[in-house]
Amino acid sequence: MTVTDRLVRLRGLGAAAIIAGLAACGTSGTSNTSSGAAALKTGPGIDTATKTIHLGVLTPLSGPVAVIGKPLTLGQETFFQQLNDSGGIEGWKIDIKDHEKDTKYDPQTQVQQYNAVIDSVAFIAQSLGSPTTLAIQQLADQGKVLIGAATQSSSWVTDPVMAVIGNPYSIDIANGIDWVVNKLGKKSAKIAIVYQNDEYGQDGLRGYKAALDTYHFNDVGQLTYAATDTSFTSQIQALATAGAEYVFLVATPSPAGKLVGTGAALKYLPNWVFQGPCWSGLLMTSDGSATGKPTPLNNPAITSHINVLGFQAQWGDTSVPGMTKFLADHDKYAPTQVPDPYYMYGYAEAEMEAAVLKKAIDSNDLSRQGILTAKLNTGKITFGGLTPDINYTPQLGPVAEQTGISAVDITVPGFLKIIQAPFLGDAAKTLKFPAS
Amino acid sequence: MAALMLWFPFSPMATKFWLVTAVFILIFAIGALGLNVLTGYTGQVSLGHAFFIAVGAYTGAYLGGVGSRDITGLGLSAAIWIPAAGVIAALCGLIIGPTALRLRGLYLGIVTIGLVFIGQHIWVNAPRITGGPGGRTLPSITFGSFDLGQDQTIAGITFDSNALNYYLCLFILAAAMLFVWNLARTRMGRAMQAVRERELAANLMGINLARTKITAFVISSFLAGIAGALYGSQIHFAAPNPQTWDLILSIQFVAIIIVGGVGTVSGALLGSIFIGALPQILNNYAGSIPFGLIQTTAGGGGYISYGDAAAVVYGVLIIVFLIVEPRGLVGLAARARRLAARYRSTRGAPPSVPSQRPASAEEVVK
Repeated sequence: MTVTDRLVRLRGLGAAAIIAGLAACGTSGTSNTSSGAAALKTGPGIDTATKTIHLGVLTPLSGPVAVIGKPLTLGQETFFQQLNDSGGIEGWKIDIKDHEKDTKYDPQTQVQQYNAVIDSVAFIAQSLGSPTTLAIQQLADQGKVLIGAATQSSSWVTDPVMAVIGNPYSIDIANGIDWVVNKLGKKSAKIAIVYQNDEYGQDGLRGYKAALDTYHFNDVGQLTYAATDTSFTSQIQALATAGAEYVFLVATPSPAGKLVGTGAALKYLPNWVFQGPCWSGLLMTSDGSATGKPTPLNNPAITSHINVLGFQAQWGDTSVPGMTKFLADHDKYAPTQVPDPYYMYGYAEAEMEAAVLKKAIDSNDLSRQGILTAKLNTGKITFGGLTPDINYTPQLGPVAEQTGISAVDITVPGFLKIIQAPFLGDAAKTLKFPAS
Repeated sequence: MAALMLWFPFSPMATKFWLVTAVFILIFAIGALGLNVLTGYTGQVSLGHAFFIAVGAYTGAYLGGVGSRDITGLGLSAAIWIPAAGVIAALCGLIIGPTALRLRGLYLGIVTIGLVFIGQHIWVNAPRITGGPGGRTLPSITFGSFDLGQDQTIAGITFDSNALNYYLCLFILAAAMLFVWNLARTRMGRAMQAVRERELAANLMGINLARTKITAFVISSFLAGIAGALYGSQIHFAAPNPQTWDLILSIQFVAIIIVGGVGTVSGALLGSIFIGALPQILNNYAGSIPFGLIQTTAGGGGYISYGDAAAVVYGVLIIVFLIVEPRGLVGLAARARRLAARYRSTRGAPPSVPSQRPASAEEVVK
C-alpha cells in the first residue's frame, strides 16, 4: 500500500484523492488514433490494427417497442454480416454487435446508453424513435456524430448529422390522401384522421392539413388518442357519427389493431388507411408468420378494408432488382425472422451506412468530421429498389417523397401486396421543411 | 462518503456511462429528498411527485430554452431558471397543500394521483409553454458563457461535460441535504415529525397542523422542481409522451425513499444509488446468466432479452429486500452499528447510540 492510499483510507481526505485523480486524468483524454497507412485520418471506433469499424446501436430490445427494435436491428446485423463475409468495405469490417444497447424506448436510458458507447464507436448506426432521438440530438450535434435515424419524423431532414432513409411521415399521409381523392377519384368522400398525441402523430397531422389546403376534401374529423389508451370506443363512435368513409391512422400496431377491432365489433367498417408504423404481421397471426394462429382481425371482411402507406418494396417481389440478394441474405443469416417491413428497413439503413463509410474511406478520413462530410457528399445511394433511392447533399431536405399503397393479402409473405406503385402527389410537394 | 463522491469523476470506473448514470442518481436523490420531507418526516403520502418534477422541467424549458415561432423561450441563465423551477413548483405545492388538511394516508395518496393526470392534460394543451404533445427541447446548463454541456478546461484540467454536471448536482444535493438535516432539528421539523407520529396529539400540543403540512408540501415540491429542471436539461427534452411524467415516476420516488430509509436524510441518496445503479449493473451482467437463457443481441439466441431479465431480477430483489429489512438501507446501517456497539461493549467500550431512527414504510402509511 502506498502512502497516498493510506492517507485516503485514514482521513478520507478528498483532496488527496483528487490530486491522485488529476494525475490519472492528464494521461487519459487523448484518443487512440494511430496513424494508419496512407495517412488515413481516424477517430473513435476505428480499429486500424484489425481494420474494424465499430458502430453503436441504440434501440428498444425489451418493452413494447421491441417488436420494432428487434427486427430492425437484425436487418442491420444481416447486412453487415454479409458485407463482412464478402470482404467488407475495401478490407474494412463493420461491427455493430459489440455496441448494441437496449434503450427501452426511454429518453433517459437513451442518454445513458449513448454515453456508454460513444467513445468506442465511429457513429450511431441506429437510433430508434422520435423522443429518444431528440434526447441525444444536441449531444450528437456537438460531437459531430452521425446518427442513423430509425424514425421518419420531418424534423430530422434538416439536421446534417441525421442520416435518414425513406419518407417523412407527413409526406406519406399527404400522398395517401392524394391517392383517395385523385387516384381513386373519391373527391367528395368523407375523410378523417386519428393520430397518436405525440410528435409522431403531429407530423402525420401536418401532412393531413397540407392535403386539406391543397385538395379541399371533405374533412369530417381530426381525432386523437394517447399512447397508453386502451379503449377506443369514443373515437369509433365519433367517426361513425360523422360517417367517415376513409380514416387515416397515425398510430402503432397495438392501438391500430384495437381501433379496427372496436370498429368491427360496433359494426363500423370504414376504409382504414394505415401510416406505415401501424402495421405489423402480428396483427394477422400470433407470431407474424404465415403458419401462426390467425387473429380475430384476420378476416376478409375486415382486411379488405385496410390499406397501408409505405415506401418499401413488397417482400418477395423479385421484379425488384435488390430483392433476390436480400432474400438470400435473409435465408442465410436470419432464417427465423418472419417477413417484416422493419427487418427490410434495417437492412436498407445499413446499406446506406456502408455507402457513407465507403465514401469516407475513399476520402481517407474516418474521423467523426470526415464521416459527416462524407455523408453530406455521398450523393445518390440506391437500394436495388428495396426502398427509394436517396440523395445526400449539403442542401439537406427530405431524401424520398414517393409513397406506395398496399392492401392486406393474407397469401403473400408479410401479408402486404402493393396495389399502387409509389408516386408523389401535389400536396406533399407543398410541405416545407424549415431548419430546426 | 463525501470524499468518495467528490473523487468519483476521477476514479477509474468513471466512464462516460457511469458518470451520466451518477448524474441521474444525484438528480433523483434531490427529488427523493423532497418527498422524504413530505412523506418521511411529515407522514403525508404523495403519489403526485411526478407532477412537480414536470413543473420544474417545463419551467426550466420556458425560462432557459430557446423560443421558436410556436413556443416561447426566454433563454435566461441557469442561475435563474434552476432556482425558478423550484419556486414555481413550490407555488404549485402551496396550492395543493391544503388538500392534505382533510385527507390522510392512502386517501391523500389517491388524491395526489389525480395531480399526475391533471398534469398530463396541461402538458398537452399549453403548447406555448410545454411544446404540446410533441414536447420541447431544453438547453444544457449554462452560466453566462460557461456551458456545462461542453467539456471545459479549468486550471489546466479538462473536465468532461458529464463531470461538470455531476459536480453541479452534487453541490445542489449537498446543500439540500444540509438544509433538510437542519430542518429536522428546528421547531418546524420536530412539529412535522410529531404530525407523522400522531396528528391528534400534535394538535393538542399546540402544533398548527395546517401550517406544518403546507410547509412540508412547499419544501417537497421546491426540491422536486429543482430535480425536474436538472432532469430535463440532462435529457435535453421534455414531453408528455412517452409517459415521462407519469405515475411510474412518482412510484419510483416512493420506492427510493422506502428502499433508502423513510424519514432520513441519507436514505434519499442511498435509495437513489440502489434504484439508479442496480438496473444498470444488472443490465451489464444479465448477459452472463448461463444456459443460453438470455438474448444479448437482436439476432442472438435465448428466451428473454437482457433488459427484460434485468427488470425481473430487479423486482425480485426489491421484494426480498423489503421483507428482510423494511427500514431500508439506513436501517441496515443502523443494524450494523448496533452489532458493532454490542461487540465493543463486550470489550468495555461505551456503546454508540444511533442518531436517527428511520421509520418503516408501514408506520408512515398507518
